[in-house]
Amino acid sequence: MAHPAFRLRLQDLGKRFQDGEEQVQAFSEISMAVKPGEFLCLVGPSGCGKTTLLRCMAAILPSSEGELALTLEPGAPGAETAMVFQEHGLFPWLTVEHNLRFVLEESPVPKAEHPAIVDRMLERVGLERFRRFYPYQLSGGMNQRVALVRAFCVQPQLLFMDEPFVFLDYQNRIMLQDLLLELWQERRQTIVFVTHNINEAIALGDRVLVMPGRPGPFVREIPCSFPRPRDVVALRQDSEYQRIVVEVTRLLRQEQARSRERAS
Amino acid sequence: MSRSRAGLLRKALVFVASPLLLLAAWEISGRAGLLDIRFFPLPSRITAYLAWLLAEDHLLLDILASLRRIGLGLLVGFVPGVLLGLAMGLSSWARAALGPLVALSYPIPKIAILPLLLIIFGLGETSNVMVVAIGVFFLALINTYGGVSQIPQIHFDVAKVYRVRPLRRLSHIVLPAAFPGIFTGLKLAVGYGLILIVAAEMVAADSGLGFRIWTSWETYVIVELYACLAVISGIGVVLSVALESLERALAHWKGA
Repeated sequence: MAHPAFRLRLQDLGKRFQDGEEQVQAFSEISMAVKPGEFLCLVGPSGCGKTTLLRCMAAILPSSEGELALTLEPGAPGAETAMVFQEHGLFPWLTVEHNLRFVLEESPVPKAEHPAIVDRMLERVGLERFRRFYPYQLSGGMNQRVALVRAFCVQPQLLFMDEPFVFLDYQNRIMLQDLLLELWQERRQTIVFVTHNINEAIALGDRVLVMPGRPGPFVREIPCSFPRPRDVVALRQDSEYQRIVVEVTRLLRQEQARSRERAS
Repeated sequence: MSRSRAGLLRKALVFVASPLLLLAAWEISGRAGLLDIRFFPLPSRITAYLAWLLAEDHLLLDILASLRRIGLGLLVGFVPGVLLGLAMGLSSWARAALGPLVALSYPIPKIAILPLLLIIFGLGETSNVMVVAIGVFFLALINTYGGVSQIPQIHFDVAKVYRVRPLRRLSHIVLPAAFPGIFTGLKLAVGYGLILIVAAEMVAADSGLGFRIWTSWETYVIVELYACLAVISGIGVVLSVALESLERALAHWKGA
């Protein structure tokens, strides 16, 4: 579902932190436009400020310079934005079901639809038997699946994802990537996805933006126009995919070195 | 299931056996003349005397009087303590404003305020209740504040992202997340309330367990003194077991 009025535009965005006497620049001169319905991935070397950038875009943090303009489709049925974090961030005192219901109750989604949405979402990720379980009773992968559908439950126009699969083992990561693409395929809400995992970014995204090792503008924009629906595993045999992975890996190696120079 | 139940039973037996062994040793050495039973009356005699106090001498009324003062003190002191602890945990302004006041007033032994309370409220129930209230107020405040400041940042981030309204954030996120801290405060407060009320009643009441202990000393009825101590220790154990099970029932989501 594309939202024609949707606009997310960043112009020379920057963020500084005050660390005692010292000013630390997390990122700067970030300019981009996110297209409606796009799956956009941001990759970058560790410490490049990609998580901070995402947190500024999601209005968890204020930015220090530049402009950030977000226009959303007026009167759309669901929430404006949602976010999936590195940690699952479920409330440990609520069951799986009530974790979903809690965010639904805070969203504009009509109350009458909540039970059906919760049922359908839990079924989609194979957790309907666990609806009455508490997070401590589930594995890390299961909790992250709940966190993923929690974001989709509120039907956001814009979904931020901050390395959501970074703490998962390999098999779980592949499964969650598959689930994410399946869920996204239904409504095609706009996604901004941050990761340091190059394969992940290229397999999931329509477009990959590469963050620099030192604060500055994006160093590269890479279109990933593989047909959808995609198979994130089969894609690894695709020669174009492999070429892009090598290209981005080289680029990141270079940026990582620049960020080391900066630190020393 | 039956296996763990057997294990639980064994633990309960050890729990009961160690004090019973101590009492038996006390009884035997008393009877053997190794202990001066003027100062250390035999446990059997203390038990019999306690039964008589309960049946014939209205000890139950004193127990209830002390419990009532602790209960009222908790009601008056604990709730404001929790509220101010929440404020301090959530707002740096409240922290800046209240922090120094708490730091200055917390170290004062609360029983030292009793004479002042007697001047303000007079010799009576209010002074006794207030000394408990002031004591538990600080325990509620400090433990609630600690509980709130230990809430993981991710909960607040999730609240922000999913637009949780401020009041719901307080009631549905901050309160349950700080619950373990608040409950620790409650457990400490009940114990501290018992200490304070017994001390206060020694000088400022004409009923209650503290009053009984003091009159036993004045009339030199040492066995009654021991009986009262036994009652206090019994109340302490019952309350702490009750609070532990209440906590397990309320915080079952911790999986402990």
